[in-house]
Amino acid sequence: MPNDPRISEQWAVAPRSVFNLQGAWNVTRGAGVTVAVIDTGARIEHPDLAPNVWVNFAEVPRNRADDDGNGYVDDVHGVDLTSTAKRQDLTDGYGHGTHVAGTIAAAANGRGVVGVAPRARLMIVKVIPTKGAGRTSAVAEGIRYAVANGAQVVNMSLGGTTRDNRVRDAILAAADANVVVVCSAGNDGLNIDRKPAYPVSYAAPNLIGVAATRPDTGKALGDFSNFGPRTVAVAAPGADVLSTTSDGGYGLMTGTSMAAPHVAGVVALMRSVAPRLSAAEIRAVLFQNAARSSLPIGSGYVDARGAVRGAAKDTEITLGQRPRLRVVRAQSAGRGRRATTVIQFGVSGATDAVRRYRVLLARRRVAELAPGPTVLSARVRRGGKRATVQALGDGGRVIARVRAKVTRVPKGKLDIGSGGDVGVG
Amino acid sequence: MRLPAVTAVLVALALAAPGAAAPAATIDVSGSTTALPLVADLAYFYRQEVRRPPRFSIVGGNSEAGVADVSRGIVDVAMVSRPRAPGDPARLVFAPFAASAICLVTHRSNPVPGFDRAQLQGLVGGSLTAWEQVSGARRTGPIVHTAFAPGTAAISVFLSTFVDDGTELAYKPRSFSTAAQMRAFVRATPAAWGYVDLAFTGGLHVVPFEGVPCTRATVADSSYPGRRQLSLVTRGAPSRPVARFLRWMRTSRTARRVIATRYVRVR
Repeated sequence: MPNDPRISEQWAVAPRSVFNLQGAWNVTRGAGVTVAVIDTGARIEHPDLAPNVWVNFAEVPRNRADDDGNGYVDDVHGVDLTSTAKRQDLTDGYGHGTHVAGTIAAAANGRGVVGVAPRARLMIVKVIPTKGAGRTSAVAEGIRYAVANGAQVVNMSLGGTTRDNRVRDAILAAADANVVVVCSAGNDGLNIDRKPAYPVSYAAPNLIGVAATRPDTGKALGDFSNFGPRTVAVAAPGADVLSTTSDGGYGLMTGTSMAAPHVAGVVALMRSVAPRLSAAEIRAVLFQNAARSSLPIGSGYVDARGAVRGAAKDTEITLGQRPRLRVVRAQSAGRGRRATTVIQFGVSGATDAVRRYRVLLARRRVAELAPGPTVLSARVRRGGKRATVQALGDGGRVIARVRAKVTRVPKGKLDIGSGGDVGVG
Repeated sequence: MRLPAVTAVLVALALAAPGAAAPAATIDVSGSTTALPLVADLAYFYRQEVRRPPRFSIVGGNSEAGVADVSRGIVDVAMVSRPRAPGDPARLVFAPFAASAICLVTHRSNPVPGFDRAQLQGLVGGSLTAWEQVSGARRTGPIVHTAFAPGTAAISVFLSTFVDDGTELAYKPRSFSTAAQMRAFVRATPAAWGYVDLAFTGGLHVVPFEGVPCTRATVADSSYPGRRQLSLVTRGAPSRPVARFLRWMRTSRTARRVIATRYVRVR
């Protein structure tokens, strides 16, 4: 049990809570998993967050260059999609993202509070400015950034009424990369099966909608919380949640914004014990192990212990199907001898017979990768218009292959100001 | 969920086929974890028997999650282990493919010869609290009650079949979300009783109800009352690959054999 001094004020952590977190911590604390917080930024120097902030080691801080060729300058801890300025200002002027980040992964360091996955990493993706609303185009780009840069879980404690296919497409692309997307249900007290809210209402096999419960046992739904048995699958602690604040201290906040990060933290714990499960499997195991309720939601209360144990013993059903390869990203930057290409691909199905993966660019072999995780990526100093990925079995036999067109690194921040409004929630 | 043994053994054989994969339709399935092992086996053998088989992506969850996913177009097919409910979207099409049952169970060291309707009302109503009150029980001492959590398909079958409308549920059972969890608990708890799906009775004593044992034979002839259907559910008319799979399940001798390993085939 962590000895952080304010843990006794975190009702979700208490043994009587249906959230059942302490049992999960006996198995894992979320090490090795990166969670993207798509929100208002975060106070990354907060003593409870600093130990767990994600670091992009391919980027040199403050040199005003895009060292890793991902389209963003100096994106060392994340990216700021609220302005077209080249630099990344992750400052949280609103205080929302800092609170959300702390709920997911505040460090178990003997100070303040502890997050649900206290050893997970936090990638900060700022899409909502201090004043005014964010834009759905920025949210879509934020999801793409998170997936391309290695996040395995995305938390979106935000919402609006605008349906934007760019956001939906980004969520579905995240599914191809086995990234789980957790969304807050919203705070209007509405049945969103009837009156959709976005992004939670997008239909995707990797999306989990979360309603908010109240203290102390976590069994009563907050009267503010949206619901809907088809759209909102689970409920988690969301009222009177103590977490980190943007002034460097701690404070209480209430809303489904606070419930979603509890679930994102649980998903991070699950991913740390079951890195090879697909996003759809993780989602199914979470639902399967939820404590059933009579609330107007699909599956019930998230049970962290049950979900982690379920994930640890779960086996993906492959049916002997050959592995399926899906290119998540094939992008190049620079030209001629300075060209750099990144090929990121996801793998599903029976991979037991795969001995290695081969990457070809313009029909030339450029990389070979050992099997292991469900998402792999190769970065090569070469350009080309078409990329091919092959799964090779014994004797170099090709078991599966996929081809993709190589695109230029997108303009990134230039396409962040369109679409509908999104706000915290 | 565990990979079925026969499937696991044959994975390597399937991968030994020469050549690279050709593009194929994918059938996405989610829902009841009770139906999942059987559907996975059926999908496996279907892929062995037909030309140009589709890919299958099968995950669990629960019946409600399956219904939500299929009604929103997230999956092509939901696995559902309960009858159609009043709140289900009207456009959902249920295709029953197997009959199962909810069996009453006790620990093997306590082979109760049978429960009658009055005893079950006493158990859930709180008037039977010790095993010495249950005729034929080998144990003495307090009864440990188990039940499925509210909202599960199993509890709805149990309540509608075995519990009278006028019986007030006054007992305090240990609550479980899945049959595997309840089986593990009753196996490890000599004083426990509960109810699990027919395919999950291994290692437990199955208690006859009103003198009728819970077996595939009594499910087939409908003499056992706790029968329930496992269905595959689509949103409207199934797509061509799904319709082909459903037709194979109805007509194939192999499918009949696979279903009979666990349940009773529904024609």
